[in-house]
Amino acid sequence: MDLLLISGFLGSGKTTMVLSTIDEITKRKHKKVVVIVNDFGKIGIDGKVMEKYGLKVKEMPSGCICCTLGSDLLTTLRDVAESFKPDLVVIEPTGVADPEAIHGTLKLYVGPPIESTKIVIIVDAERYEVIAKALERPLKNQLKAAQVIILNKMDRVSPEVLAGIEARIMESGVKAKIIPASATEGTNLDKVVEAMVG
Amino acid sequence: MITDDFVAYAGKVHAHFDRAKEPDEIRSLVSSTISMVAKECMKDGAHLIGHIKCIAEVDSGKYIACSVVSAENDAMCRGELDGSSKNLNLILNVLIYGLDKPKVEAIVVRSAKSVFHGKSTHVKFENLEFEGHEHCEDGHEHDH
Repeated sequence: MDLLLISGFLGSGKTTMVLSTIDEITKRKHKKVVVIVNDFGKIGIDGKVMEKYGLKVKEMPSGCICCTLGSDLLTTLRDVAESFKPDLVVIEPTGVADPEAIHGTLKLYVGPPIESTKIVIIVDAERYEVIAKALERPLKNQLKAAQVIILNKMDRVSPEVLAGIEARIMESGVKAKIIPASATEGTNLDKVVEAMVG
Repeated sequence: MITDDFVAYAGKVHAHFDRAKEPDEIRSLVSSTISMVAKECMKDGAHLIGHIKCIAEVDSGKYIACSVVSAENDAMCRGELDGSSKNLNLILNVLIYGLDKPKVEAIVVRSAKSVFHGKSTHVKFENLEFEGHEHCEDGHEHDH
């Protein structure tokens, strides 16, 4: 079983990216996929949306799997692994999560073995400056945890702005592969899928 | 990113229309409501909108999900509604920096009242933050 952690700040387009790529991942890789969705709100919305799109979803509302729901994540993951025997589990944490903390929690997992874990961070290109100004350090922490960074909503900024964001991320010492994309427009999603499960 | 001024609020709006509304009208009501919540939050002192999102279901069980991340942009919606409907259940999550929960709740109630006002619509609000959720009818002021 492989794990794909799709993290990123609130509103960066994580759910849209999952919905836009999951069919291709399933088709291309012949993978049986289950999604674990963590919503900070008392009532999960993202999971309900995914279920309506026909995905196999386990919802974890009311907290964050990087802290308060850490042990629940381990239980949920083991339950999912034992009941569905998936090839791939996609974990979508809340947008305030610290992916490094989730990665740390996953080291305590006991259950059907995890063969690989990949951390993908979705960045909202349109709001990058605003978020970086308000939450500089936590945003850096998210980016530092990434193996792949998707600069989402590339259709909503100019090529110059996009290049500027990419340069700033690289200057901050992040080594992850950066892929500009648009989940809503379908731009570069083949590259995104390849980076996620290739 | 869970800072001291971060707040997550969940609420529900149930609307009953005297005359069944068409899908386009319902979509417009839903997107207007969350866009207004975003604008009012910023006007009332929020310094960053995290994510304001909702799922809205009609009589047929069909739904739309809408979200907004800034006061300047329109809400983005996905999903399709079919046929007219007399009822709408709207569950909202407001994730925001710089306001407290009672203020956010007041904004949600005020915004929904404003958007649904004068359309032969009866609106009920439900705070989903509490066990055994609290209800209030439109026009009824309340404290939590």
